[in-house]
Amino acid sequence: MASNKRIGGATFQPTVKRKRESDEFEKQYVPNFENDLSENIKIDKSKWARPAVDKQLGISKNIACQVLEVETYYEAANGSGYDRTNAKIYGVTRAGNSICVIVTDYFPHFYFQAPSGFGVEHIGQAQNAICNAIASQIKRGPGNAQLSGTVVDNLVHIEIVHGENLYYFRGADTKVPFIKVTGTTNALHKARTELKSGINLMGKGPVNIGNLYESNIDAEVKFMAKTGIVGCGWIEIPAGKCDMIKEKDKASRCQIEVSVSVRDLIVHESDGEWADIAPIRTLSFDIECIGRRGVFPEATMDPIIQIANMIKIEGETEPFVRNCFVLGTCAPVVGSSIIECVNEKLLLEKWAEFIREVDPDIITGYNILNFDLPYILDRAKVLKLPMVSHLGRQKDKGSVIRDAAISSKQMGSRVNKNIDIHGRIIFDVLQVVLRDYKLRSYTLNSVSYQFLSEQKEDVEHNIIPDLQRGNEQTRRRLAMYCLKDALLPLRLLDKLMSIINYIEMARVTGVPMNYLLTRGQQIKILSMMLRRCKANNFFLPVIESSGGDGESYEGATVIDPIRGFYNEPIATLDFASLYPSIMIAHNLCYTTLLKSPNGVENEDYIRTPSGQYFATQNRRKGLLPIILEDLLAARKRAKNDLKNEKDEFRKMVFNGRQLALKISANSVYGFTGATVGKLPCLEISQSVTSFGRKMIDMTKSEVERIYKKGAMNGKCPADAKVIYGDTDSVMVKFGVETVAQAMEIGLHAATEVSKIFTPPIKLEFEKVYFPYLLINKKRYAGLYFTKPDIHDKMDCKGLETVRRDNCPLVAKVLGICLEKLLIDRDEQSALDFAKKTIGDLLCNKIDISLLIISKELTKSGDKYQAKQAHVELAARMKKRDPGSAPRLGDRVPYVFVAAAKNVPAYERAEDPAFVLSNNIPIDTKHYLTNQLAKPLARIFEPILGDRAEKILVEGEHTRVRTVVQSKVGGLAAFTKKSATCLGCKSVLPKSDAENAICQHCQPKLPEIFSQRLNNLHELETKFARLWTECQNCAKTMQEKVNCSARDCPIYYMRDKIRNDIEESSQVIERFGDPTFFN
Amino acid sequence: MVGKENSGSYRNLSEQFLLTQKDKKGAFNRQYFELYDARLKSLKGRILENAENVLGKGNFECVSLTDVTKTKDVLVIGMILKKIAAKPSILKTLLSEDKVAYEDYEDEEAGDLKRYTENAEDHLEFECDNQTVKLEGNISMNDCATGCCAGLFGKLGDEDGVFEVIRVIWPKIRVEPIDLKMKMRKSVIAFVSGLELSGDLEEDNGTISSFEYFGEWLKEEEEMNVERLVVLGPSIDNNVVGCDVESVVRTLTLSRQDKQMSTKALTMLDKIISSLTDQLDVDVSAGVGDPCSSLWPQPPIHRVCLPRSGMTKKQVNLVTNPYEFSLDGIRFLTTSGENIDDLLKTCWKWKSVDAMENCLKWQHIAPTCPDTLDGFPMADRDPLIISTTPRFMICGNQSNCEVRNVALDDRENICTCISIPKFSKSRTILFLNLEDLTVSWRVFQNDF
Repeated sequence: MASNKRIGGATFQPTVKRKRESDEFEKQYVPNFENDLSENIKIDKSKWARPAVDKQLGISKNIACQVLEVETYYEAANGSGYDRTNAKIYGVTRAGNSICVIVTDYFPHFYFQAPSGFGVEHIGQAQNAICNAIASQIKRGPGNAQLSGTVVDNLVHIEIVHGENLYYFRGADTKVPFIKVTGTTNALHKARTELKSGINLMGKGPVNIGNLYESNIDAEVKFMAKTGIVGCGWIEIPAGKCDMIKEKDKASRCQIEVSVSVRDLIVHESDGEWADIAPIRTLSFDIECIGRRGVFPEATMDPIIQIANMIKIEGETEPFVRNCFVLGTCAPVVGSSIIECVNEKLLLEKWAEFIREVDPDIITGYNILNFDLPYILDRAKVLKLPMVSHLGRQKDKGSVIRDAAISSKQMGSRVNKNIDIHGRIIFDVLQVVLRDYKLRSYTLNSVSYQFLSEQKEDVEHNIIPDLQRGNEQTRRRLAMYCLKDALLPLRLLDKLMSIINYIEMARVTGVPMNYLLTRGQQIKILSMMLRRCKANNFFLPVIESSGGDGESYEGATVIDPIRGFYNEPIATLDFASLYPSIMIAHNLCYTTLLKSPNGVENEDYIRTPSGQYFATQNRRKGLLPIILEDLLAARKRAKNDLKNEKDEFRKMVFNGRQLALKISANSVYGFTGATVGKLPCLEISQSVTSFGRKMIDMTKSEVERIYKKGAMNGKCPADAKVIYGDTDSVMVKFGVETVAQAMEIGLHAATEVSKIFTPPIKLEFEKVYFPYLLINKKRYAGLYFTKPDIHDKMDCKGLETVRRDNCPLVAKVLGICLEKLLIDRDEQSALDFAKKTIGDLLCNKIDISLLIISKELTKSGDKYQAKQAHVELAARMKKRDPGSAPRLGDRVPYVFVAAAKNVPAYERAEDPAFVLSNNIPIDTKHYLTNQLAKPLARIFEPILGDRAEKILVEGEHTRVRTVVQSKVGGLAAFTKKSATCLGCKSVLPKSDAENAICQHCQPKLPEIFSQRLNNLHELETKFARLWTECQNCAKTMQEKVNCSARDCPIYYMRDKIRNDIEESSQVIERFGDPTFFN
Repeated sequence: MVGKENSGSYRNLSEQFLLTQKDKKGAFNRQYFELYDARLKSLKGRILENAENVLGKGNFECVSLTDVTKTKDVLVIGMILKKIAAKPSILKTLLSEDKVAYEDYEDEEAGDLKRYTENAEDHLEFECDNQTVKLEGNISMNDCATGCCAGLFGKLGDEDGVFEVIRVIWPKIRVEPIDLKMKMRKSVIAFVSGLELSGDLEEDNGTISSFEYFGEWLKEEEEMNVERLVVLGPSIDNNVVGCDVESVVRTLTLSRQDKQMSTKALTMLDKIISSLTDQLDVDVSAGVGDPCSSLWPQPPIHRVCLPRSGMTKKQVNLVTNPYEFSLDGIRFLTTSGENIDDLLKTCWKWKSVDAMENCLKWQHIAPTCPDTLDGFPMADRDPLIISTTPRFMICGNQSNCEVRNVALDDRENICTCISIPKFSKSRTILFLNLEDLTVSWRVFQNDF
């Protein structure tokens, strides 16, 4: 192994000096196991293989399989044939066999509008012209390919089809001739450029053909739309009409490889028996690598020492394979098999063999996409182990890493790695969580705590080398961590039901499952559009992206809030699926958009409040409305199925589907508004929001008109007043006293007011807030009632209780104050609580974990415009200890510490652990004025008026403050401790220094003692509970807890308690022996 | 004054419960695994000894859990963990705190022991040589508690990570036969538990007057010769300081309420205890909530809290909890009951005496310490192991009075387990006659 490595190292580390260093390191930190282990290892593979294949498949039995991945590939002409682009579908059969379906006779296409006068007679000329142009381009290119005549003739095919540009309504059913060009992806690409520069299509000289259609859409998406295959849907290959490929001819590692013509393929709708999910194999893995001191492991130098794997079948609860490949000897772990490898090379090779043998469909883990997988592939390169990169189902292709930028409104921009493991889906749990959940922290630890209410013991990178260098027991310990890290992602996926939800999303939108993780929102809508357009012969033009933000338009409006604390029921009227309903109701679509009005307003066309014109349904029903109607109807069906379904697993499927449908319906509006998208149409999105605004206003005036005092046979005690309205909901004060009354009128109002809107736009009444604290636009809180007697929950919008950029103290205090205000309706106690907390804060009684703010270190210091606290701190920590300092991408936790007056805030940030160990005083004032004051003032303003902030920040409760003496810096070195009386703090005379208290305090001795003891009791309980919690969390009673999970809610607490209790028990010791002297 | 000529036969045997300098040094930088380690180490030999008795010498092989196979029955020695889903945890509580943070905990009915709700996921685990397995087979949740050390005879189950138990081997019970030559004399020892004075005169009135009534009764019934009273803690109401998960969480969720232990309660305790010392010796053992450390084993209540009792004769003993002593050669072990309460929470089937009987079986006073009962972070010893089984095991603050004779071995040795209720609730005092070892109790109701 060592020799191998040196060679690898040399290629990557050209300078001689560094190479030598790495050699030394290797000797130091990677022990050698040549004496303990042999190269020939026996591995129990009994559970690895997939079930055997039914020999009759494809011969007398149809093969049905669930589609997991789709790719297109180029097949060069062989002899008599011509170049092709075929599609390959990877899937799983019901019996759990892996399959690769090669779909032949499929050709990608694009369209362009036929030049005027182009007729059937021109097809031959046009095809020749294009083919020749492409052929000469190929010949000009590198390689100077020799092309046979057949190939040249068949580079592309053209035909005339009738269709229409998706954009604009030009009168009913005006299909015009288009030319459809089909061929290999490669040929099409060349054809595109040739056509742009003009080709002699009709024998009358070069023709300018203008816009191309659908040439910018992925071949896979086009293939799926054309065949009707949806991601994770079922297809069937009829027996006898396919070609079963023999084992030796297989290009894939699938159990079954079959080739079928696109014409014979049967595609099923995901309903009935085809709604099922095949026994998909999910592999979750985690690697451990050994780093040099102070450096994060780098694939060029630092070896992988362990890889833990868990394999589970979708729908089952427990993994059926649990193992860990370990470098070196390792004590066994009950319930998992440990595979001891003598060197890293063997470890990686055996692991890759393992992957190929168990043949997983989905590969998961935590941050495998950006760390584990690239690391393994990079190591394979360094060690020159080509087979290790062969993890996919394609025999001839290893996996490669590319950088892929992804940017979307939902998640912002980020750069991910893109790794192609042919035929398997990389389903990184971190990516799923990043996409679907907003959290304070995204470490595996914190995510499992949030969703599984479970923590894991987090091992610091620094101790991994020690554990590896130790003995088989310490390596076993490491394997335990590694196994746990492999298991947690599986448990998370189960808990979040991500796989099922993603499968359903793939089925609804039609894209392959991996698109959902690697691509943005748009591709989903595009795929749906494409399917619908195909049926109606609409073609999607290629729109040059305008790049920048483009024009912006007015967003959803709000009715200005009438701020205040409403101690009465406030009814909420909501528009159900507002934007989709607007688009359906007003027939807003690309295909109905008018350049100028034509005909009779409101009969032939409508004018939207934003001034755009759209054709009415009478003229043509839009495509988007049809898509949306389908989505909403499908969602209704799924909800219905969900209600009637008994089986838990199928219930999950239906719930996943209805969620997917909802999200998809709602994202159509965004799709039309995305200026950098494939099909932007601001006319639509502008019109949608303008309708939305208008409807909110209409609702307001209608409600206030109908529900005047005495309306509904006197049931309305006062004039209704709309106090706030936002996007799709309107808050109404009916002036009633009980929730039940508000519900009755609210229900009535929902039906009545709905009458003024075009269906399916409908107002729904579902909740009453009582009481309701309206702070500002998009900021409110209230008790949420859906039934008259008891509230469902406390609902807070836009308040710091849910925001992540504050310290947890803010959220907690705010939460409790709101509960006191809203649930107890006790303003005084809420205010008292706020004051008490501020008092506690200033007296240093607040636990440090509540004061920690954390920010992600996204780029190094000099790249930030202004100095930022967490960046400065990271730099300072690096100076102190490069090993434990935060790295790029880490979240940096910090607290603000007291400093001289004019020290800028960014220099006052400090590492909480450092603060604890050195007893550095916290800048409590900063927390009060910069964190607590504003949010608290906001919620108390409606009650206390403008004085709120003043009362909170300057009241009586802020007078007492505690000052902590730091152990470092300043005067710490010069202070000298002398014994003081524990009662009155007076300095004890030297003769009495042994005593706990002074003579004067003697009568109060029991009192002083019991006070001190009270304090100790609290600390003792804390100590005992916190440390047993850790012991339990680490799931071992007999081993030391080595945990560095900084985002664990008790991490700082349990360290702080050690100092506190030590101090406190020393004080108690001063009172002497407890028993009487006898 | 009653003659004290026999008091020489009293021996305080609680040395092991006192913390040594070594124990205290750097204690709070330790973790609890050291204590578990010490426990297992000291019980291992006794488990092996018992295994030889039960399974027969040479009939078994004692191996590490890593070497257990699915084919051969072997003995493994380690620690049992009772995994109960409803067991409170700080992390879980913190997660759900949003809903409960500000709730008023004081409304909770104090006094009634809350047992954990049973859950289908509850199960047993076993840790040995850093391995953990799930237990199945011939072992029940009702047989054990977290922290019990035992030997398990069996093999690996078919399922991964499961151990099929055939037989559980507990540590060999250590008995010290009673010296029958010791002369029997007519003498009575009284036990009271849970005075729980709050310092609020109105609240305490019933307890105090009933206790004073007991004092007067003692004078009248002088011929009974009650020569010693053991007061089991907590003598001070411990509702003041919570010692559960919620109270820890409350300090984190800002919903903590500042409360002070009442000095008045201390003064009152001092007074009623010193008033008895004319008639008998009093041992004051601590309980959780009393003015002393609340980590088990608890040190005595500090003398500075009871100045008056210290001034009287030398008849007030401030002792530890648990408290072990012998009188006329008879060994007594008392606890204030937190150990038993903690066990009872984990099993609906047990009564107090069942739990005590189990403790004898496990040879451990409080296996759940430190897991759910706050314990001192010991390093190399576990003081709560029963090194010599007492003749009487008395446990305070239970729901009622119960007595059970437990046979210790095939010989005639027995241990009598007695539970006594809180005096603050039941006004009950237990009497134990040393002459014939009979037990009786009496209620001193005087609420007027």
